[in-house]
Amino acid sequence: MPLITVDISESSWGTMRLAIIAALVILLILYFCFRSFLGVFLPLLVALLSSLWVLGFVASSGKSVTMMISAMPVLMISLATAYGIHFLSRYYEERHNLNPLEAVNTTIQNIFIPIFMSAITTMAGFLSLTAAIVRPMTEFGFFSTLGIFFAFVLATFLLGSLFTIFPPVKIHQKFSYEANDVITRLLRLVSQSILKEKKVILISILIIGIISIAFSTRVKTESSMESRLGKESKIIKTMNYFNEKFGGTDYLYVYIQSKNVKNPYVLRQMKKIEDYSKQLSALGEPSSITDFLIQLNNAMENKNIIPANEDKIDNLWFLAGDNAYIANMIGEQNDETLMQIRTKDMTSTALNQAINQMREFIKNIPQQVRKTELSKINEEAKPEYYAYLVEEIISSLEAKSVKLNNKEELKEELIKIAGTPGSEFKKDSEEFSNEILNVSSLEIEDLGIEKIDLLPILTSYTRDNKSPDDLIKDLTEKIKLSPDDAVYLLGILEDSKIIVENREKVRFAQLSTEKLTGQNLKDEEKDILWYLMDEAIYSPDNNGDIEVSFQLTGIPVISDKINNSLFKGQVKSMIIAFIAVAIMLMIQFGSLMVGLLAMISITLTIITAFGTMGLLNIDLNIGSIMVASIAIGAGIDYTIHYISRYKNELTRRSKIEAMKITLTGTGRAIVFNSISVAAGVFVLGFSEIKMMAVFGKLIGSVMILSVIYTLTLLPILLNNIKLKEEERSEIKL
Amino acid sequence: MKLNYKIFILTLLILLFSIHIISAQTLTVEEIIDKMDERSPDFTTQKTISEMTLIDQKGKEEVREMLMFSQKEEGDKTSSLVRFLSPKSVKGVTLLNLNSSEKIYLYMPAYDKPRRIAGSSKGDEFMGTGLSYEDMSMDYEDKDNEKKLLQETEKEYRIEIIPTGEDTSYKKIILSVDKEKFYAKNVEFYDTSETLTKTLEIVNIKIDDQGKITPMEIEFTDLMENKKTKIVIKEIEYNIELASDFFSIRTLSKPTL
Repeated sequence: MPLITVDISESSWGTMRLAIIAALVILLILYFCFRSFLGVFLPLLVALLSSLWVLGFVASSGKSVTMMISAMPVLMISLATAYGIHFLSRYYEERHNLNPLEAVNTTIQNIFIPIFMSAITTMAGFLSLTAAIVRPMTEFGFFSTLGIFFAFVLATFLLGSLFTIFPPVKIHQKFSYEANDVITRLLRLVSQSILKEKKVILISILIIGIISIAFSTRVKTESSMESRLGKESKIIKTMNYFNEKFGGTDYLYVYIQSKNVKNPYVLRQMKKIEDYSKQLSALGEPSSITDFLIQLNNAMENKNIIPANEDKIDNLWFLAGDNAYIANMIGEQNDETLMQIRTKDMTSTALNQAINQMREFIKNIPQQVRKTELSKINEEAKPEYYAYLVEEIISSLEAKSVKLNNKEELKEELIKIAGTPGSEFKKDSEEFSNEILNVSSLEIEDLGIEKIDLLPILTSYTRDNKSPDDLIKDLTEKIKLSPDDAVYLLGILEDSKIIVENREKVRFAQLSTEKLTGQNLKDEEKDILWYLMDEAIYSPDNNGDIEVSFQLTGIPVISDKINNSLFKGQVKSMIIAFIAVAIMLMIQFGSLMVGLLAMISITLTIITAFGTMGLLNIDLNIGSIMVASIAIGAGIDYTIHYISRYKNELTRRSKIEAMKITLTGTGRAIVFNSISVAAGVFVLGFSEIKMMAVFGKLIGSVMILSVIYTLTLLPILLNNIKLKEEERSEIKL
Repeated sequence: MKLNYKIFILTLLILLFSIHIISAQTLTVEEIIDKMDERSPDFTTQKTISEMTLIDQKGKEEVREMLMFSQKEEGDKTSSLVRFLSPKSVKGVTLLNLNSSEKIYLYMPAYDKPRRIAGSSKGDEFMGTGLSYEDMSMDYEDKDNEKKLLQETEKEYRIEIIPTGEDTSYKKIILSVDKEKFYAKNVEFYDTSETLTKTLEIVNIKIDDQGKITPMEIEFTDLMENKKTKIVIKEIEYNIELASDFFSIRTLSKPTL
């Protein structure tokens, strides 16, 4: 992980370098717009100074440069330039009619309010990001807000004082109303279309809106490292390498709590969870204390299961527990343990699905059970308890991905087998006797006798149902054992016989299961049928004394949570921003109607942005999800500048004239602004970090979209309502 | 399956009581070692009840009480039977070691059948203790081992033993032998990079009428893992009567010994 972090940091610095490229691109565009050195230098000065101030602030507050903050200079340059552009544009416009000092005064009078308003709304947009639960985004929101404030202060006060002290001598022709350059012509065309082709524009906007809504439903949330960084990223390649070599870099953990996690019921459920996790392609290699215990149990009695007997587990633990690794897997009070599962898949969708399936599986495990000793219940009640045993067998087999057809029939059959005494599985064959001898081989060897000599004696004993005394007689006479040794061996052989009968019983159950389900069981699946021999039954009971809880945790679960909170946080911040901006606009323009109209173009911008994401299959992630908030914050500027100017012009002119002059005057500034901002953020599209690249392209598109909506829809809408200023101009006329 | 300290205890106890280290009044290493051998008790069978305390890195203690029988067999080999008496979770677990780990059997009361388990190889570490057979074998009288008197102080001799066997895990072992009583008070184990990794200290001894010395309290420290194992002998009897087939599987699963 440290290596990967270094890689991310390097990419972050790469993004910082993009800031310089963004600055150069904006520089070129500004030169194209203003055709003067000052026109290039001053807006950029505002942007550079404000981002410098913010970075200084980041550093002095002891925060580190995160992936998000590294994008800030680019963003700052793109957004803060706008204030400079509006100031310059207006100042140049005024300079055609006024002397330098008057021009500065008029500009500030006219521009202070809209810049202030747009700064406030943009700040509100960014500030809404701080509502996000994810820290990098909160910090990003906070520092961006600060940056916008710095830019506002610089654009008004710094530029104002600069122009007072060093007024530019020559102003380019195109800042007069009579200009005839490309942008002016384009804007005139827009104003003519608005007057003549109102319906066409409205209908096209409506169609785009509807299509966007349709596509926006296709936007998926995706926040895996891969989608954030891109498949070709060095980091992802490294992680994929580790994934392949070591079966996953992240672990999913199941945290198990119980009064005693070494309880057979708890351990068996853990085993089931492990088995189930193996079924899910995104997960693999589960491990926990159960594996060791099962292995040891297999060494002790050839059964690959967790024994139902607590004493057996205690005995096994005595062997396993001295291993430091195993000892550390369990809490000091034996009340907690951990299961570890590797995650193989990098896409969060597959992983989320696996996590949800795990959750669902765990949810179905009874968390409170009662233990009943089979020996303590009377015969009639036993089948009821066997049903619990069989239930456990079936769920364990299903966890091992055994498909069980005829489940009900199987249940009945297994309950019947469980209730059949072991002695009924006794066989008269030599094979059967041989198995008894094999089970007793250690003791037989210890007595210094041969199995082969015992075989005929034992076979006749089991086949002819001889009495124990007969066997002792045979042993003392035929094999010359001392009476004492013979009694001892009898005991051993009787014990072994029970073991072999039980083996036969389980073998019978295995065959029946295979026959009923129509499939062959693997060895470890067969071993599950040993549960039929359990002497202790665990049944779900709300008053049971055995309680257990399973909790999924680990980085995959946490990032799943983050994704969810991210999404919710973002939706929340979007709504907050939207409402805040609407209220602010209403207050600022002193009109409910104007505020609402302004929101229409912003809403459309957001909808179109989401539509584009759906169309281009861009997933909603930590970066692209911010688009909506930023669309509100940044896009609102155009609206504010347009409406302020329009209202201002309305006091002097007719509606149509006001619209025309606003479009060519402020419209130009808006277009300059949007082109430079868009170009600036588009530079981010070259970032090595995929998330950043998508973020850049998306914001860039949103800026352009926003300007189109502002300059077409807004004039049409405003044209159709009656404003206070209009009344005033009518009175004047 | 590695069998942790059950086997280790077994070996530890057997070997500590039969330290074949010989010593002499003064001068040569050989004489010192001969003298040590003289001081160790002569016995063919013994029975001990001891208490072992495992102390892990966090200082967590675990106490186990056990009963042990051992008997010297032909060719310097030892058979032994160890049964755990407490705690409850391990009560009755019994280990049978025949002819110095030629065969090892395990009996656990929850499982009816005894099992034969593989013996550990010389350098294998016993889980939980950080000790190996080799550590405990104290097979210093091996003629091949190089022995050297490093230092003679007022109270002790410091003897360096350089194991020459091929599969040894130690570069050297240093014994501090009590000058008056002739027993190894302290043993230091140095690994192949000459780092002190383990120490064994005899904290308390018992001297019988014949002047024979029995260690009663032993403290073993694993410096690498920061673990300690303390063994306190609560009862010890030498040359007790044992049935000829005592060291057998039959005894292993007997409820009382």
